Amino acid sequence: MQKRVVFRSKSLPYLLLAPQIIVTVVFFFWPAYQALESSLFIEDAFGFSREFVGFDNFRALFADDVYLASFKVTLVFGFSVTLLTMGISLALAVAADRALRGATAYRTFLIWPYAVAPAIAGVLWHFLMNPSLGIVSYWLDALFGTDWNHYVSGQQALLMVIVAASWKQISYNFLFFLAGLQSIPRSLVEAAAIDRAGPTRRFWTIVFPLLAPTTFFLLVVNLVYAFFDTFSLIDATTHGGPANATSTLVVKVYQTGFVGQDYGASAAQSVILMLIVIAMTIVQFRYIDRRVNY
Amino acid sequence: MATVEIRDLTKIYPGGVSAVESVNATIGDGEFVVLVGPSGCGKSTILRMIAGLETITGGDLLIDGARVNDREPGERDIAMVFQNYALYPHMTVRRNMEYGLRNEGRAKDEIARRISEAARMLRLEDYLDRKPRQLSGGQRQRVAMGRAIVRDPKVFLFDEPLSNLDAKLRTQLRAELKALHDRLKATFVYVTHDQVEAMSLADRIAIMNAGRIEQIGTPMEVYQRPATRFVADFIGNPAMNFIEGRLDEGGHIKVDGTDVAQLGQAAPLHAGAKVIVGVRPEHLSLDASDPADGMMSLSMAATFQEQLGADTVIHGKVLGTDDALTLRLNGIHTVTPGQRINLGADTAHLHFFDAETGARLSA
Repeated sequence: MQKRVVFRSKSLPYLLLAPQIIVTVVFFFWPAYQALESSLFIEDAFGFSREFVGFDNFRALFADDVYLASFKVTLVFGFSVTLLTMGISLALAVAADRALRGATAYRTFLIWPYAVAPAIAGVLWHFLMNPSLGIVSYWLDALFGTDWNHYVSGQQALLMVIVAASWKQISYNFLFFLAGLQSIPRSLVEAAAIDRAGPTRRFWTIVFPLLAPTTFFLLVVNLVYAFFDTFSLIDATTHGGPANATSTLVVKVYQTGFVGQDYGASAAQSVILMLIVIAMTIVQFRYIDRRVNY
Repeated sequence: MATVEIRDLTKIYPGGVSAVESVNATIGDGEFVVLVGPSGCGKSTILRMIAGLETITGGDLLIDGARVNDREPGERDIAMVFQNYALYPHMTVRRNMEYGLRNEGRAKDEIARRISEAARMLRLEDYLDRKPRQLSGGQRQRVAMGRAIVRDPKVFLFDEPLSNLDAKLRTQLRAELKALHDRLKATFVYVTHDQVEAMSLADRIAIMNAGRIEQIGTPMEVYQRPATRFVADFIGNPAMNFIEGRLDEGGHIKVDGTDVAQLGQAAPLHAGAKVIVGVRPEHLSLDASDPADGMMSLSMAATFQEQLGADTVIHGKVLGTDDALTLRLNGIHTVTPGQRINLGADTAHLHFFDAETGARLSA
């Protein structure tokens, strides 16, 4: 039997929902609508006049090599961050799951980076890797003779933001992987051990398949994080440079709109981002429930 | 097919908790041995040490004469059936049963042959392409057994395999398990907390208490000559009655002033020592008119009865004391609370235990 709460007054439920609805409308629907609207106009930098241009802003974007390059940067950045952070988190979670006793302390330490704000994490890595002051760049030079300078090398700059963004996300992934691992009955792994499967084979044939729902969920979450949530980190470290080497789609929206003052083009980019988010959300909702039940 | 020998097997968990203390046992080739005892007595720990899932703190474990203490579970040539079945949920029944054989690198046609053989034996042919979640509890348990059988191991280990099933299914699978053992003639080590399961399945029963084996013997041995009071209490349903008595100078045991038995000269007790007299509910009878030779007489105040159809179990107290007494009679009987019942028991059916140590006294 399901118990249903019945409100006597008709306005009370709406009143209770109002704060959430107001927040959603003001901070999500309104800006989204404005972005949709302005993506169809060209506006002068001071906001005095604007002209309806239809889909011209979009056409211009897809004809722009810099914009297309930033698509590529985003994909490289997004998938690298996802793979790196999930790989490391999974390895750490497996280790923590084995060392059952030390797990609590170990776990606590691993959760810390998640509490660090993205911009601060970015600046932290910026310092660590600073070509003249950074300890990591010093080590790289001493150990491998690498001439580290992410102010000059686009590849090195991209690598740096990938490492920083992954590092920050490891804690989150680690928690989910550890919870996933601990929900796998021990007797399954024991049965596999008796069935002559070595540790590696046990992991890939039993543990990893049973982790699939967690892995899939994290895959989507990490892609969304890397695509959309890393603006402050990148902006604080490289500003999208050098030469747009770290300019992902989100950074580009900011640069076009707030630095370049081209509101129409910036809005058009936002609309494209919006479509990507919607597509990824649909994928997640359609497949995640199906994959959970093995 | 193999023997299992454990010598001074000991398990002490980090932190000092001792689960198994110096246990010795030899399990013969093709024997069905059941480890039984209350929860926490160490029976599962012993099984898991044989399997290699728990490290052995002390002593030796020999399978077929070879010491296997330090071998990985997969290298001991054993198979185990778990209480929760431990079927791989993402694999079909066929895949579940194949898994071990694939890991051994067996040829495809041999794998197929073994699977079909086991599936036929366990009547699983129609379920081979299903996932475990599409099966009932009894079917899952049969798959778990199939996974063990196809491996053709030296020793089969069972960790309370039937305790997740309902009573009727349990009885049915118990019979199947017994038939399976007769057919495979393999060595079985079986853990349970259910004494009925132990009695009906085992060639020999090991009754465990607090990390030690109290007695190993055939079901009839442990029923007829329990080595300790614990064993006497654990085996048999309803449980044995215990009445306190005292030893007099002549080696006679007296309950409530009445002479119930003569203890042999070897009794290690002095006069006046407390002795526990045990008598099973089914060995008490109503014909106590005359305390003739070889009979102990006793009176009880009934409190209530359980009518089970074939039998009636009457609960009450030994008259004038607080000692609980249970009586099992054939057929249907009715008592009124407080009713006095005179009982007799053949002294040949009495058991005597040292009240201090719980050890059996002669006879």
